[in-house]
Formats: sequence, C-alpha cells, structure tokens
Amino acid sequence: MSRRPIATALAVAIVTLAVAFAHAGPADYLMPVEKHTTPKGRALATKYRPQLLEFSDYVYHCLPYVEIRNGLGFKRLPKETVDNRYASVWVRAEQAPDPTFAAMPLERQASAMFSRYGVPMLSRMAALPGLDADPDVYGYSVAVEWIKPGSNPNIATMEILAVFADKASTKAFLNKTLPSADYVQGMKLNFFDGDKEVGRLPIEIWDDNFVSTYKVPGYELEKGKVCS
Amino acid sequence: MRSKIATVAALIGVAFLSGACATSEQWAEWRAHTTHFASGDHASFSMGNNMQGTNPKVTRLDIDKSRQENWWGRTITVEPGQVIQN
Repeated sequence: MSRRPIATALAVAIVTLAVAFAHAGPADYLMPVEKHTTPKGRALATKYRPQLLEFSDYVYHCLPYVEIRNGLGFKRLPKETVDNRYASVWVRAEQAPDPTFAAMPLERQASAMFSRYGVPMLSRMAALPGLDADPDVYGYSVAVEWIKPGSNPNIATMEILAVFADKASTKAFLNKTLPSADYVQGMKLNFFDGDKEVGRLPIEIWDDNFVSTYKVPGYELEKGKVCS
Repeated sequence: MRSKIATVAALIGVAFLSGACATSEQWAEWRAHTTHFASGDHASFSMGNNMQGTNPKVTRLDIDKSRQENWWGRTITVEPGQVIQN
C-alpha cells in the first residue's frame, strides 16, 4: 500500500478534527429549541436566539472562569404546572479551594457566590433587548454552582444555588429602587448540597465588582471580541 | 507534488495538535494554582500564572480543551430537572 493515501487520510482526519474543535463555541451553550417542553418555551427560544447567542458569547469570551451549564434558554420552576417562563442561565464558577471561603458559614458562601456571579448574570440577562417588554417572559433565573469546600477532589460535590425572580422586582433591584433584602424575600430560592435538596437559605446580596473588573492574567481575548 | 502537499498538511495538523496540548498543560498549571474565592476584595486574589518567570498565554480554546479533559472527574450533584425544568 502506498504511503500517499495514508498521509492524505491522516492529514484530512487531523484537519477535520482541528476544524471541529475550533468550531465548538458559544452556540453550544444554548439549550436547543426542541428541548423546551412547551410551545411557549420553544417560541421564546426561537425568538430570542440572537440575544441568547450574544449572552453566551459574552460569557464564553469575557468570563473564561465561568462555564454555562445545562443550556441557556427559557425555563421554569421545577414541579410548577403553570408555564411561567424565565430567561435562565446556569453557571459553574471555577475556583480553587480557599480556606477563607471554606471558613464561611454556608449562607455566607452562597451569598458570596450569588453576589459575585449571580447578580452580573441577572443584570446581563435583564438588559437583553426585548425581554423586559415581552409578556411571555415571566422573569429571570440564575443557578450558580461551585465545588463544595473540602469535598473529595476526585469526586467533587457540587453546591448549587438557584433563584427565580419576576421581571419587575429584578428591574427594581438592579435600578436600586428595591432593597436587596426585599428582592431576596420575594424570589424563589433553592440550595442543593451534592445530591441533596437543602431548600431556602437566608442569603444576602452585596456589591461585588469582580466580574466587571477582574482580568485573567495571560488570557488572550479572541481577535475581534470586545468585553464590556 | 500531491504527496508533498499531503505530508505538509499532516505536519501542520500534528503541529497544531501538539501545540494545543502544550498550551493545555500550561493552562492546567495555571489553573491548579489559581485562587478564586468568593469573598474579600480583588487585591487578595492571587493568580499563580507564572512559569519560569514568564506569563503563559491562555486562549479560550485552551480552556475548552482542558474542560474536555474533565478536570474534576465525576461530580456528586442533583439532576438538572430538580433545579430547573425545561
């Protein structure tokens, strides 16, 4: 057998792999339209796909220490029968073990993670064109997950804080016309420790400008991308 | 001539992949020493992004690759449907 076909096949395979790898990106983090379980959900996912792509593109390129999980889309509260759709993002915040964080009580950890990562996500989503005026969008939902301090590094235990809030109170909170404590009180909130549902935690929200100011050392933003 | 083109293409492909792996290792090193934590101010964030006195460059592609390698292995967590419904 000639070496030429082998070399050609190898080259084609490698280039194909490289191209496929290079094309994985922000669009992959959107939940496919057909996975939305109701017509309203599918309609919203179709209508706002450009906005969701823009959101995903921002997270993907500008917040490399955050990863969108389980699909960006229009989702609803578990077990809720009414089809209230929330613009939803679930993010995993990647952080190394830290004794300061580990020493905080659980509700402070959850408060810190939500203040740091959840609020910027809410703010970004609430600013997406069209959502605020759309009566089919009930509100916004953010789930933040992180590795539980002290968990087995080989089988990490994830902690998840999920919140659901209506549009009006979110807007008021972001505009600082609604105190954060009132906003928290009005939101639906659930905390999960590994595979256990813990329920509501008394979280607080405070100002945290990490996401808007932190730059990963050595990180090269893709040409043509702007983070603002 | 075609043989030469195929060989060059193969070499470029191999170089691309091996380069990506090397950078991925650098990213691994970077991340292993990264300290993010959700309290305190930015001044206390320490990013151990130093290899032999130089700052390695990390691209978004490197991060994708490292995630594909599944750093954290398996996780203990709930089903997504318990958190949010599609």
